[in-house]
Amino acid sequence: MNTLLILIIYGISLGMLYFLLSSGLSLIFGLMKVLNFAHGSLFMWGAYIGYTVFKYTNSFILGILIATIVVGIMGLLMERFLIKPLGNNHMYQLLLTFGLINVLNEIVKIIWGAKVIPASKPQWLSDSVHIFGNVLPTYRIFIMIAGVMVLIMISLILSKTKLGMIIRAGIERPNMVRALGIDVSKIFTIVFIIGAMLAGLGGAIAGPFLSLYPELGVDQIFYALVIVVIGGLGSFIGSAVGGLVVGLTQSIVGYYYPALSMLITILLMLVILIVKPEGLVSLRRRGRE
Amino acid sequence: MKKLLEIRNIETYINQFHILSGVNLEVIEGRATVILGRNGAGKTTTLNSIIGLRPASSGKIIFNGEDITDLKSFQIPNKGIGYIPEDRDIFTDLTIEENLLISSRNKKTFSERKELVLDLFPDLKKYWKYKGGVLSGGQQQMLSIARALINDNKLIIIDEPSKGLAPLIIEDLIKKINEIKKTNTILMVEQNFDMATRIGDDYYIIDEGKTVHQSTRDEIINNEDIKKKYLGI
Repeated sequence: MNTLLILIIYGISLGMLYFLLSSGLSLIFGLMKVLNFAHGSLFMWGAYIGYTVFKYTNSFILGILIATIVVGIMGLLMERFLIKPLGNNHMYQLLLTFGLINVLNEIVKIIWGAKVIPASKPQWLSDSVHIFGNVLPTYRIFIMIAGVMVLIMISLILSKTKLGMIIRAGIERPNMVRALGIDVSKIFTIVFIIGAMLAGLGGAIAGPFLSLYPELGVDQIFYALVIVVIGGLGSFIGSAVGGLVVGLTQSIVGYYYPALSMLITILLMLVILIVKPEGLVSLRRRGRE
Repeated sequence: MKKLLEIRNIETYINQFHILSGVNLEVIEGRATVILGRNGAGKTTTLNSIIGLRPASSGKIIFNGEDITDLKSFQIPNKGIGYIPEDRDIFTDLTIEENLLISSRNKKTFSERKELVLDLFPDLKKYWKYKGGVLSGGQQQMLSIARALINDNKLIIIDEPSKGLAPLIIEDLIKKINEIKKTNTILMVEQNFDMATRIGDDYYIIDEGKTVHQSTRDEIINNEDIKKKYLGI
């Protein structure tokens, strides 16, 4: 029983990390219909920037803040100068973001080298806590708290602010939002920045947990895509649900049958694609006709 | 009589398809103008060209004395045009309140306009906190109209308001649109001839992407040849 409880806590913390990774991707796709394959690379850049700032300032929180801001600025530049000029051509967007993976990875190699860097945790997050006689790393709890805080904050923005209402409306009917006199392209830019910031934040938090290497982003984008398919493309809450489902599956299955962990995750995605192709948290609700 | 909207010989393409090839019409302030025509004649595309969702590739669209042909789609409604689309296009994930809040262009006048809109559509008050997706078809149509009325627009564009609605609801809708007509200029596309003639003052028929006929209500009701030739009734 104690083992299962610990596995669930581990699964939730992994799920929250996956949520931080995939929520920005899902938001961007939901509103702009841009599947940003370079999202994983932004996540990786967040990890490297967070690590570097922490190394030179000894402030882990400052590292997270600066990583979030810098990756947000990278998102702004990407959207304004690369994605926007392509208009609505989704094939070009796909090719562009694929190409960006290579560019961003190569720049990382030039700056930080190609070797794996074991990013360290701050002292205050390196301890453990005891729960029902089991040892639980503090950093796992920190990831959970950070994930829940982001979930609450973005959910509040989406549900309580006019910007959030416009984003939700734009995900469903962008043309109607334009017909109301709202400049959707500005909203696209804002959402792309928010999505990139979430990737940067997730990366900075994940760095000490996953270690740093130039292919980190490529490895993680795969999980992010699985999560958004399970949760529902475009649904912010869906990415939290998808993250938790994948995190718990990997934690529990990975403990009992490590070799089957990935297989079960993919099978889960396939079952959801067959039974509920719109994902667990569907965006569209039908009217009562 | 002031011309509020003037469309001069517009041509519009959707991808490679030449949908409009010479639409001309005028909307007089304070009157209801109705566009009639068969399915696929180009009526909805005409409205979409006015609102900028399908920009015209040539011709002119003059609104309130200003050339709006080349404005971006989000700039056009801000000139004072409310648009009620064919399929209502309400935001199903947003509550009635949120649907109206994001439609409002002026925070200061929202409360005042809200009262006016809720007096016209009391059902919306009843379901104020309900999401758009749980409303019936008729209620969704009311919400779609309310979204256009929440701003003090000079022109209300309505695309096929009767589409998919039961006859009893259509009756109610005719009354509501006639109420709106008392204070607003209306441009409406409608396939239901009975509904069209109970609302409109001026009529245009579009056929194969061109304006082919213009008349008043009495003329359109009594001209059997035109009705047979262009409307199939």
